[in-house]
Amino acid sequence: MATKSDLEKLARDYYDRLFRAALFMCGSNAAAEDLVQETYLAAATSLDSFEGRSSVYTWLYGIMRNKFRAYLRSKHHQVSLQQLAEESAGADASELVGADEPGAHEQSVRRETAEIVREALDALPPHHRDVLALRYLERMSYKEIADALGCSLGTVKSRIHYALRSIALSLGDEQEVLP
Amino acid sequence: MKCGDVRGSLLDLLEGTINPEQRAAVQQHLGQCDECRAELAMLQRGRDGLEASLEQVVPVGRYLTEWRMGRLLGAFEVRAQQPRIITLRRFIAAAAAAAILVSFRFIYADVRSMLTPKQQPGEAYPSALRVSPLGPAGIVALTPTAEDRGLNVVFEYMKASPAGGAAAASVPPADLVRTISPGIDVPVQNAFYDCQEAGCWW
Repeated sequence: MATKSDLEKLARDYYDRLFRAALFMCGSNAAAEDLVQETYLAAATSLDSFEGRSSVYTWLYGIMRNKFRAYLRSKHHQVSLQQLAEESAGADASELVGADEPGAHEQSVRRETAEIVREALDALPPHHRDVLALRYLERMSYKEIADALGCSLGTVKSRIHYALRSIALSLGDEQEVLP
Repeated sequence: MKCGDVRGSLLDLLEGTINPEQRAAVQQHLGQCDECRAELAMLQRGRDGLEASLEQVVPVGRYLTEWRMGRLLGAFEVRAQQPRIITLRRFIAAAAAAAILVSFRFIYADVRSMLTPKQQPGEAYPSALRVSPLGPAGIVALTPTAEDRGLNVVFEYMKASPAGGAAAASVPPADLVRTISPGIDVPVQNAFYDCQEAGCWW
């Protein structure tokens, strides 16, 4: 069992990164906050059994994925990333860092693209969203993803392929995508 | 290369994780195949769209506010003070599981005792069964003697009623009787035994 200071250190080191991944999974600030908290509490009770075979973050991320599955089972619903947009609209902007101020048109196009992508992610099965998070948020290699998920390299690639295809279909040919 | 093989390599090509030989083969195929080129363009569009939107979908930020840290540590302290409740829950779960196992054991024992013969068929075969007609030809009642605890079961005897119904008659143990359950023919001694054990017919 971890001490309070162990937990505090774990939180200071990894909370923001985990929270962002949780947002990607859950789509809601409130759900992400609960998910990350449950992850830390579970990690605190099993810290002694952590053997260091993976990085601490990967270990925490694995716990969070399991918690997320349990969350989905308990809620019996697909979590909507759409909720995030609604929550973010009213969120305290001071909590967020790094917002550039592009031109009005560019900002509008980006917002529109993000909206479509968010809806496309919403429609994806959780295990497809999961591989996208690991690949494009966590920047893991296919091999690392396969190890983390306990599935084959081919499965990882086919899930990413499917997910990117779904996003592209949602974007359609008309939507301008800015780099 | 066939389209199927190329499709499996498009993601690697897009992400730059393809090996040089494969790249050449895939690019050669793409030069000739509109469909695979369109598929690659679609993947690229999906990836670019996702990459461009990540910042808005899940903004990089300082999410660990003091309030959240306080909430986390508070929850940790509460959990740390509740080991007995957790232990009690586990104890209740274990006790429930044990109770279920024990009850299954008793149910199994009951069912087994009902199904397992206490005496082998034939051992308790009565020396004589009284046969009396019950109307239609061939329908007889086999009435055990008093020592057979008053069991009275109706069978359809496969043979003609031997004594015309008036006199008591012995039924040879090996004779088959047709029971009231269609299609089930059993030796007399078995039928008698099973009736006695089950208290009723099938």
